[in-house]
Amino acid sequence: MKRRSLWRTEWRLLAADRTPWLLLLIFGIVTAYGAWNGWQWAHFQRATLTEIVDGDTMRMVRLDNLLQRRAQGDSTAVVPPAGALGASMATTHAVLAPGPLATLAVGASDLFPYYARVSIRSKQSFMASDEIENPHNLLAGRFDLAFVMVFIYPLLLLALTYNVVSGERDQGTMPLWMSQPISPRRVLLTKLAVRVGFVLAITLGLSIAMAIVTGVSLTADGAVVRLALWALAVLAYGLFWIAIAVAVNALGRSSAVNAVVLLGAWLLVVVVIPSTIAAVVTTVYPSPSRVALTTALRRASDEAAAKGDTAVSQFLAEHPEMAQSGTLAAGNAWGRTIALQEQTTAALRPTFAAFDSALVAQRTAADRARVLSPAILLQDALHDVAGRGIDRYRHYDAQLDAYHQAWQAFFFRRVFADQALTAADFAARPTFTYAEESNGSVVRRVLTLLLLVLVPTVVIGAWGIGRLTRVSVHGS
Amino acid sequence: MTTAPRLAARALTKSYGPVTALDRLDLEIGAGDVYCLLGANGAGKTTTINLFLNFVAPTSGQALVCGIDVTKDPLGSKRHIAYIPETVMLYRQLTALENLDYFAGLATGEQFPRDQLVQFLVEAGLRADQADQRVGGFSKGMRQKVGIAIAIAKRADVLLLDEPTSGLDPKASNEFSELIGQMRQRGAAILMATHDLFRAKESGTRVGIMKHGALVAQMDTAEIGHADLERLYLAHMKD
Amino acid sequence: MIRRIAVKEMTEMFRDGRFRWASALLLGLMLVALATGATNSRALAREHDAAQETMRGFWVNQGAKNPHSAAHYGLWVFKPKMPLSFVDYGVDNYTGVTTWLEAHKQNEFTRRPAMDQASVARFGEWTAAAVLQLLVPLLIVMLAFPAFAGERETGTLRQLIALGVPMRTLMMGKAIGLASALAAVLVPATILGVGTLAIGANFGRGTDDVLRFAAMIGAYLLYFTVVLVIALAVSARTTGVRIALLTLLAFWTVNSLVAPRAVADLARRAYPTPSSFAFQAGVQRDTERGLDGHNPADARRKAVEEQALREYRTISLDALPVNFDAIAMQASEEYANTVFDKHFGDLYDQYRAQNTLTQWSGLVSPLLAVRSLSMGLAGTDIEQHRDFAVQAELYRRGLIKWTNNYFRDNTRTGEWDWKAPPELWAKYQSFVYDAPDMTQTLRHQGAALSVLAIWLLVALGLLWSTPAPRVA
Repeated sequence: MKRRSLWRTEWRLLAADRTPWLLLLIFGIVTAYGAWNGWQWAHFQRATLTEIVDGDTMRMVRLDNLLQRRAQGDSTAVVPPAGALGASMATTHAVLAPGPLATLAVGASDLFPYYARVSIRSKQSFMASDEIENPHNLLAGRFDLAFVMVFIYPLLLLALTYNVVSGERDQGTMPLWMSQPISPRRVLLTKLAVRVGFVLAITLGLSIAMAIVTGVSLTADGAVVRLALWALAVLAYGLFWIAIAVAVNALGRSSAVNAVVLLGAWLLVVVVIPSTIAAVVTTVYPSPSRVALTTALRRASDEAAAKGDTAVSQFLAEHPEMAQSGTLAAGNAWGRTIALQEQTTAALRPTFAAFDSALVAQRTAADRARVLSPAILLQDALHDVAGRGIDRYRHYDAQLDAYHQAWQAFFFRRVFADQALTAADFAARPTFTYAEESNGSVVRRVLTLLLLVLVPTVVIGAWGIGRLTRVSVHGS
Repeated sequence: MTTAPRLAARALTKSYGPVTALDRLDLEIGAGDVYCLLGANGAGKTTTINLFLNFVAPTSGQALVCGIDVTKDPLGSKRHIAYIPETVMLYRQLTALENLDYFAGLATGEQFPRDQLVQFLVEAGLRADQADQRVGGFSKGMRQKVGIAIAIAKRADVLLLDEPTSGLDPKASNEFSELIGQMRQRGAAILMATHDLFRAKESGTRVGIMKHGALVAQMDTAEIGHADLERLYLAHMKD
Repeated sequence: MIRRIAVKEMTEMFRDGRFRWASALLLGLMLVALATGATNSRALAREHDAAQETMRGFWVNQGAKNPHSAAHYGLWVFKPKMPLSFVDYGVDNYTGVTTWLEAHKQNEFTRRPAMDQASVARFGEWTAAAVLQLLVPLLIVMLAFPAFAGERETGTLRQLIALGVPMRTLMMGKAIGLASALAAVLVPATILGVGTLAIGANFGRGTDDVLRFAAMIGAYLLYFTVVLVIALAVSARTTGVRIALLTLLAFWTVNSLVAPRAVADLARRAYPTPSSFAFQAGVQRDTERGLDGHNPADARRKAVEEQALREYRTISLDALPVNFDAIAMQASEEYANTVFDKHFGDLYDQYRAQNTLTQWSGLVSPLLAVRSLSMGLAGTDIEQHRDFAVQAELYRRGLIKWTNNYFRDNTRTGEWDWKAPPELWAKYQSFVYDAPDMTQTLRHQGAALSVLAIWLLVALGLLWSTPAPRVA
């Protein structure tokens, strides 16, 4: 009975106050803008990929025609050598299409390539170009739904809960219910629950609505799981901020002090700690130098070229499966190029390994440090769920490497034997289809992150709720 | 029917560091008693009330409500108390009825039907048509009446009042006196902190004069006249 | 009277424990930011310069080689770090650090350093610019919000007005007092910055760097003045300290954290850029079919042939005293260069349009204007990158032309096996980058400067026109 009138009155108070509705309206607009931007980017990517795939298909059809005509004895059909085919003419793009929830975040996808024209050349040469984007925009970051959730959603929650206790004190209504036989904690938590429940419900609803409006298909594989993870993430993060608000309120200070302290907490968690972690991690584990890598690359390829025929014979000796005889036919320019290229790559393997391990060291350090800020944890979780995180790129990159190797293996034999490609060969060439990560791995990663968010939430929340019993009419 | 006094203070002391706000107060108020606590600002009147309400913890001594120690069973003791602060602050955007519904619900755990709530408001001195008005527009006296309606709904054994007539015009003040009389008739024990010597003599059964946290004089109002009460009060107030 | 008020404000501020703590923290952060910035920038500058030398070495020591092979061998160039980049990294981490100058192609700058960093780095870095753009305005807000609203609440404002102090005098006094208190914090920070610059003076251009630094200080001071005046205006017009504080903090949050992102998306929408695929496809198409579709490659080649035959007064290509292949290659290079100029020019112009829109958006959020100025003056914005890219490209064209001309003049058509002597390569000058001076940089910052000036006028206007509080 008591509970009903508590809830009812809290709801009435919330409904009568204009501020929450105004804030929710602003939040709704901001969410819609974020979703629109995310949709825009995914749309651009999909349109680009369609253009790419169409172009590739047309080229492959033409090439196939050429090979067929050759097979039928048409002497006007001049088939380029296997090297030329493998290096450019028969190459198509290995594409990473945006995932099912891609419209909800931009994440790392504006920085990393999502299509690559794999060839028999070295990876450095075909991965040379980045997607075109004004670096000023890359610096600023994107206003996507993930940004709204990480940065603005806490402000909404804090704006509605900063004075859950102090407001009663300021208003002067505290003595009236403090003198009633009901625990203050219960009254305050009910107050909180009404406001918070309302905001959480609206936020979750908005997320799902935006997802559907921007074209997320619920029947796509993994879409429902990912959407559920998104909802959980938003919920967990919301609980974290509510715990902070409760703790600050429980200290018994005035509304103005609460507002400033909470804004300070927001600044700390969302701005100061992440930037500081970034500064420390990149200083202690510096990024490896691309400049040094470029110089090393050039030096290695010069050395291989200087060794010339020796390098070629060395390569053939090490790869007997490549050439039937131990030597290269005199006019086999492609064979020579590829042999030198592979020798260079082999010589550079330790350099690349060192480069990668430096990258991994930095990333691991950053991953460990991110527990200090739920903002980082949430951003990584949301990016992962939307398929815009670094993990998906590494997954794609690994598949690219595998495809690259298969492609090279397919063409090298023919290059070294100076064999022309036939139509049948062409039909049997390796193709690339991106295999999405299993839902299980995404779930595991995201749930780990959310667990890390819940730890401080539970600790701070428990302390705050415990201290609420000591709340006093006069404040501390 | 318990014979224990409704309100009892036993050597009740409250210090804030070196400052003693209340010094070993001994007090007993029974059913039907209207005890008026007189004294200057800072004499300890509000501190006494806050101690009974467990808004502050005593440094030493006990505060008992119907035999219940307020520090040991705060919720239990609050069941017996109705408190009307000096300024009754309500939720401005809710109506008188909604406010009463809320606080009465918290107070008793019961859900009162609308008619009964209106009845409480009328008994407290408001008009029935004022029940659905937002209290944001209410005067101090009207808000106080809502506070009294809550006390009525609660059917409390003890009524704690802090400066109830400050800021009320003579008519409102008089209406208030009548309400106190009614509550007294129902058997409530009333502790009233006030400056209003006239009202103390009119409504009260006993008076106590507080100075610097100590109760320096105590008497039945029947034993003393208005003029003498004032003379006595001023004599104690002289340093 | 203004002086008296100013002195009182300043004294109050200096005695305020919060001010002292906040200032100490700010200076500490500034010191760390300058130190790390200077170390990073200097290390990177050295690395880039050294790599440039190494690459020159590779070029010079190519050995005997066919000039066209040398043109294909090409040269890698590395973007230099500008002297003032230690203050503001700008977009240095988001632009490619190197590009390959080779025949037939204008390559893009590849591998943005941000790709090699952990994703947390995108939250932002603690540079001196970040401290100045984000934290100092916060300090200003925290100090200025109770200036009027506080006095209004405590009643001392009414007393002052009743004494006959004009509102404007009060405004000026408070503004100067607070500004002086802040100057006490910022002057040491500036000295630190100047010191850092002086230590690294040998990798600068002397006067231009000093001018740029002075201009940066000016831009930031202008920005801080705007923030201070806005804070005072809000404090003067709101009914309570709480509302003043929350309004200003909301303004700060939107200004610092939301506006840059929101405007980035707006700019992209207003001035879209093509995908890398579409860009390269466009370049290829225009090279093959001609820029206007009317000058396809084979027709161009025919024209070159005819031109060569006419010029050397021969009937067949084999009879030419020079290498026709070289002539043809150079002609096709030059045509390709016009295609590159159009496409890259359009792209960089689009970036410029986006950035100008961002600068004008400073009318809503002044941080955008000061950010643009800061990056521009530090030499870490896209215009600087474009300038380097253009100079590198001009060098490339010069280099390729030189190899083609040498090939043309020293061989006959078809002599692809001919090798130039190894001493040849050193004869072409090495690439020296001539950084733009401040006036050239400021040409692209007109909008930002106008925006800050407008803000200052508006804020002063708001402050000036604040009605005096009711005394009764």
